Amino acid sequence: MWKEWREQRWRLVAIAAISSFIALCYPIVLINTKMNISAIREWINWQSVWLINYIVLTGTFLGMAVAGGEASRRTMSFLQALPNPLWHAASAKILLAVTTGAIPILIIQLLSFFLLAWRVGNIEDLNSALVQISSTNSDPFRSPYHWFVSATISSILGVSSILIWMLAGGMNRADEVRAGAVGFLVCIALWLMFTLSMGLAVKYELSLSFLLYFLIPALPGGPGIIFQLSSNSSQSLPLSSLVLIGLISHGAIVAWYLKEFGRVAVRPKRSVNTTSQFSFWRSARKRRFPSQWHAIAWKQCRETGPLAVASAGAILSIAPLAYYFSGGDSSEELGLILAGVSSSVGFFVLIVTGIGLYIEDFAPSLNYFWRSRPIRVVEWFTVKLVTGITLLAACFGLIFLLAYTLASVVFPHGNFSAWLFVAQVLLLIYTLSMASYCLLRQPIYAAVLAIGLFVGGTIIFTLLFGGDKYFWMTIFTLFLVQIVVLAISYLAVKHDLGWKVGR
Amino acid sequence: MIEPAIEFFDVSKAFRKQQVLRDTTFRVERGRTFAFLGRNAAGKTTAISIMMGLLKQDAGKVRVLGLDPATEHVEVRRSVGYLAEDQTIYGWMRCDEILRFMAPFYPSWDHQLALKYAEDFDVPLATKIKHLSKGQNVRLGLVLALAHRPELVILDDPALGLDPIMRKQFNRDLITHLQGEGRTVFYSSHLLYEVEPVADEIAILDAGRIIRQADTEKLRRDVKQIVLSSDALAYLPSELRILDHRQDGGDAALIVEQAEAVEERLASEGIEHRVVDLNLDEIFEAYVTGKRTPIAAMQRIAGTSDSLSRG
Repeated sequence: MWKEWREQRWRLVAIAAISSFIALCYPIVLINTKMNISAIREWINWQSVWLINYIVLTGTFLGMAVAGGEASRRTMSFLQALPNPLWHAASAKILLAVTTGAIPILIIQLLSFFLLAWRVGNIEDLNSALVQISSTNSDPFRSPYHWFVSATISSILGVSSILIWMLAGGMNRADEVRAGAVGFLVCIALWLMFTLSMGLAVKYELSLSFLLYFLIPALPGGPGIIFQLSSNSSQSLPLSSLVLIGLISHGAIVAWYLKEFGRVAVRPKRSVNTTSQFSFWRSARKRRFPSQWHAIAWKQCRETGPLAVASAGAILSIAPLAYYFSGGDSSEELGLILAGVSSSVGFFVLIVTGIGLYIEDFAPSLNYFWRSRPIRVVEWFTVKLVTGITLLAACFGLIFLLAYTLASVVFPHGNFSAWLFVAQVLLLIYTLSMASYCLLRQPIYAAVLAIGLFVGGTIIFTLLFGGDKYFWMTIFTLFLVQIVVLAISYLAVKHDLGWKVGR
Repeated sequence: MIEPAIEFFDVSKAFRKQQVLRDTTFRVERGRTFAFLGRNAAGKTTAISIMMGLLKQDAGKVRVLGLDPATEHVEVRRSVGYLAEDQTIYGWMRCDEILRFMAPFYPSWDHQLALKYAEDFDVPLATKIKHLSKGQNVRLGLVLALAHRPELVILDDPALGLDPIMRKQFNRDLITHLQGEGRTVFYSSHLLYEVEPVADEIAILDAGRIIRQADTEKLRRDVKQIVLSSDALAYLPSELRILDHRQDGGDAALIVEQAEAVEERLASEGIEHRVVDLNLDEIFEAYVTGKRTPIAAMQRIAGTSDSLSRG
């Protein structure tokens, strides 16, 4: 427990600080606004949106860091050699991971509650405001404090559930990225299968859809959804059965995790020959790259390419399914769904690929390898960055082009500035993630910092300078920030400056 | 005048409060095989990192093939073949891919030579690097270090982790091959028996300082163990440098520098003594862990100085 605490404590501090900052961005901007019912409603809505994002992002990134951490640091064999059962270590991991995910939620909610109470006047005034909101809400509150309590509990349940699934899915993988990719795929696949089954049931056998509801508490994040639904007084759910299903399913996953954690077979190294059958290909492989640019670009394509192509494939598979089950009947709807799915998946992919741009080069042993070669850092940095961006732009650009072709009427026509704004924002997410990793050298911290800076910065800037009259100032600011972020990244790469260098 | 392959002059380097190199001075002439010896954490890898331009010295002057690695690091790395201690290479690449990848960074890269070395060293070209054994990994590292025909080859504990047979093969075949081609080899190690048969010159680094640099043969001739009666210690010159000593009953076993001069002195005084030749392991041990007691103190301990002066 002590070891796990030592590993998690700064993650906890980082997540709590950044998530509280983002959660409080909106309230801070409202500091001079009169707190009427509409402002409180906006505040509560903002808090809900952020909590959902927090659950998904923290569950995924914290889960991948804990699931792949030991293997990535090559400390698994040390754990295996200790004279106590591995499930002790596994249970400490799961407990501390859940605690690290839950504590920031408590902090966010308490801070928001007291800040809101202070802004409204006092707790009683806030209660009456919340009661007023609830009376006009389709999802009424049972008690004045109801929203804060139910949102807190359901968020904690949600993040804990995703963490458990991520830990189990990414268990015993070679590093954090593989653990994260497998864990995330498991979660996505389960929800996809559920959505698919639900869609089919609604279409062909309605009674089955009722039974499928009972699967929700077993899904990643499901317990949180069920708690939120059950706390809504208008819904009458068979709560005891759902709780039982949630407990049994998550209990089984935890038990499996405790049993299998650390059972990694040490495979003997074998020379696996992968000679191509084609003589043309064989002779091509014997030729050297014509220039340094070719070599670096080839390497980057091999590193970023698989994730970019897989993401594009996933988007192109999910969007038609979502279109079919949403009962869409026009190409505009398909285009919008395609754009929506690629935006949400794209945000995640941009962060992962941004972090991944240097994740291998900065691994302690490889960092020494490429730095000891006659490589000019400026060339290395530029070609890697440009190749990474080009690959993502090619994959996502084609999807957006398809979405634009399908739903051209709803996209801005001839509005160059709008497209410029979107491109700059996407580029900023990518470079921010890269810069965060270059400076911190740990994927989880880098993700937290990048998301915090991006979301927090965007909210504050939008709320302070939102509106059309500041548009070109926004574009200029984004450009300026981009330059600063790139300069910081370059200096961090050139001088090997990083918080966790040589970890 | 031909510049030396490597020149370190009064080089110091500290990491925060930890002083790693202190006024380190040595010189490696071209065409020589130079063994850089030191215990773990003696500062060997730091010195090599400075040579490669990966670290900058705090003070002093460094030249590698006449270039300053701090400012001309790309040029230095182009002319140097380097194999790092426990080197890791991108595991997802295949062996032939890493050769293709590295080629354009070296203007003098000979791709046919790289393929030939890979064949000679039994590197499976169509295998992913992550599937290579430790020995294959080291051999691949060597191909990468040699394929651009470097004038200087820097090997940082290259045989670390290899089994004894592979270590022997490595030293016998590779170093001999490089020596045959007239290249300068800078070989860092803490395993003395590895370098003994191949090194022309040796430098011993201890706590960041070069405590001895000499030709291997000269060092062997110069440093020997002399076993003599404790009473005879008084006849030893007071300026004699004792690297280590052991007391065994009435006898004293001293490891000394300038053994030939000491032998001559003892012979001229007619003192009975025995000279034991040392291997590099023992010489190194004497330098880095030996009890360096001044001869006067030893004489006092043995009580011979007093008795002689009384006599």
